This record gives sequence, C-alpha cells and structure tokens, in this order.
Amino acid sequence: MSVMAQPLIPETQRSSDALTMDRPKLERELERLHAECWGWALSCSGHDRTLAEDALHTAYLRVLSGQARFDGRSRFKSWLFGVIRLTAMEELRRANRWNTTGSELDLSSAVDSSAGADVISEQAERNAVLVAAMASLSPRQREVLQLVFYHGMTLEEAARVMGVSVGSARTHYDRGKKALAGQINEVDVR
Amino acid sequence: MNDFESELKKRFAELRADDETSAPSFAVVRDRATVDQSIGTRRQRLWMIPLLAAAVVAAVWVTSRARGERARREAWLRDSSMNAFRWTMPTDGLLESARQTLHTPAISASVLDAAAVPIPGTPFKGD
Repeated sequence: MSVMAQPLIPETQRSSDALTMDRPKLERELERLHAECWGWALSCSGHDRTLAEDALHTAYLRVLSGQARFDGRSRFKSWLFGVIRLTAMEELRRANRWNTTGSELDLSSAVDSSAGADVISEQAERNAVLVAAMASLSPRQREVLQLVFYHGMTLEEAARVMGVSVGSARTHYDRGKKALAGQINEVDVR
Repeated sequence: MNDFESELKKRFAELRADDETSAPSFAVVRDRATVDQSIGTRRQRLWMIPLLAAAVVAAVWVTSRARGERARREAWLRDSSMNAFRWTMPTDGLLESARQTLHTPAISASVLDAAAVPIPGTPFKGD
C-alpha cells in the first residue's frame, strides 16, 4: 500500500486558500486520501465494487472539474467524504441496491459453508461477517459506525459528513453499535 | 472503551487493510475521471448542435416572414389609395395626340403659318 504522504491541507484549515486549490494540488490530495476514499465508497455502495468504483470516479470527476468546490469550512477529508457519500447515494438510487433489511438478511451467506470454503482465510471470513452485519443496520447507523471505527473520525466529523447534528449522530452510533454487537455475536455463536 | 469497542476497532482495521489491498490505483480512477470529463464536455457540445440548428431555422423563418410582410405591404400600397398620386385623367390621351399634331409656332412666326402646316394624311386645301 502506498505510503501516506503529509496532508497538503492542514487539518484545521479554514482559509480562503481552499477555494483556490489548483488541479495538481487537488490531485495530490485525492491521491493521498485514495485508499480511505475507496473504503468509504465501498461502504456507501453496499460493498459492491463496481458501484463503488463508479461512485468514486464520479466523485473525483466532480472535485477535479470544480463541480464540487471545497470551501474550507471543514477538513478536506470530511468534505470529500460528503461528496463521495452523496455521489454513492445517487449511484445506489440508480442501481436500486441495498434492498436488504435487517430481518431479511441471511448472515449465514456471509460465512460460506460450501466445499472449498476452507480456502478462505479466517480473516476474510471475519470481514465478510462484519460486512454482512453492517448491511443489516440502517443506513445512518452503518455510516456513523464506518466513519468512526473504519476511518477514525470523531462523532462531530462523522455528523458533518452525514449532514446531521452531533446528537443525532450519537444516537445512531449507540443504536448501531448495539445492533452490530447483536449481529456479530449471533454469527459467532453459530 | 469497552471490550466490544476494542473488538470492533480490530475488526474494522482488518477490513480496512483488506479493502486497501484490493483498491484500484488512484491513477486508474483519475484517468477514467479525465476520460469521463472529456466525454462529458463532448456530450455538452453534442447538445449544442440541435440548439444551434433550431436557432438557424428560427432565424430563417423570421427573416422570410419579415420579407413576405414587406412584400405584402408594398403590394397593398400599390393597389390602395396611394395610387391617387399617380392618377391620370382619362382625357390625357387626347392631349397627347393633340401634341403630336399641334406645333407651337415660333415667336416671330405668324399664327397663320401654323395653321397652314399640313396635317399628314389630310388633304391640304388647294391640292
């Protein structure tokens, strides 16, 4: 994996420099955050790789073409995640994905019991369980848990990305964590 | 932080590492984005073609309509009371034929000389 370069935009930058970011600077910043963006796009797209790639391509296009403009009111990463989230939602609406609900989700499908399943590593299995458990949550719960645990954001930052209040994000976080614990424990017991 | 949160962090870290190893490179995404951008621009240009064609058709229609309107107006003026300025008396023809036959006598000549000028085709007195 690529070595994380130093951020071009300070974490707390609020200056008007952000408004005048040229394309090479934007590209460097996108490249630095690319791995994280990919993870976020995957999460927003229901772990559908094709959909995630489409969403990420469109989001990058919007950023590079100036259609989406960073105004410096938040961290660049939070803003970028917001752009990816909205773009993925549009792509999802188009593709009509994430149709599964908590009650309908079959977690056993995440743990392949067919012949040859032993080839799959234990870690991949654990990842599949986590992804399936996340899919059983509501979109808001899924988003806040992903942002906090996967991307290491604070609840305030997660709330900004999701476009909700901090209180609301905290509620989704608490409920989501409980629901996720239930789902994972259920599978682990099996 | 309780045990479950630690467990979650660990699991998400594993998932993240797995996702990162399978992530497409930034260059691939960026280049595709550039291609998409040029396609988008080309698509925008393609949208312009019918728009321009419609503008040209509209301009031609307006011009031809204005030209027809002018022609109609001129025709109306020709046929309307404006013709009064070009009206000629029905007896104008008579004056013309008279001018052909009558010759204004010279200032020094006698009035009778003019009367003596023979009219072509008319038998002169004394012939």
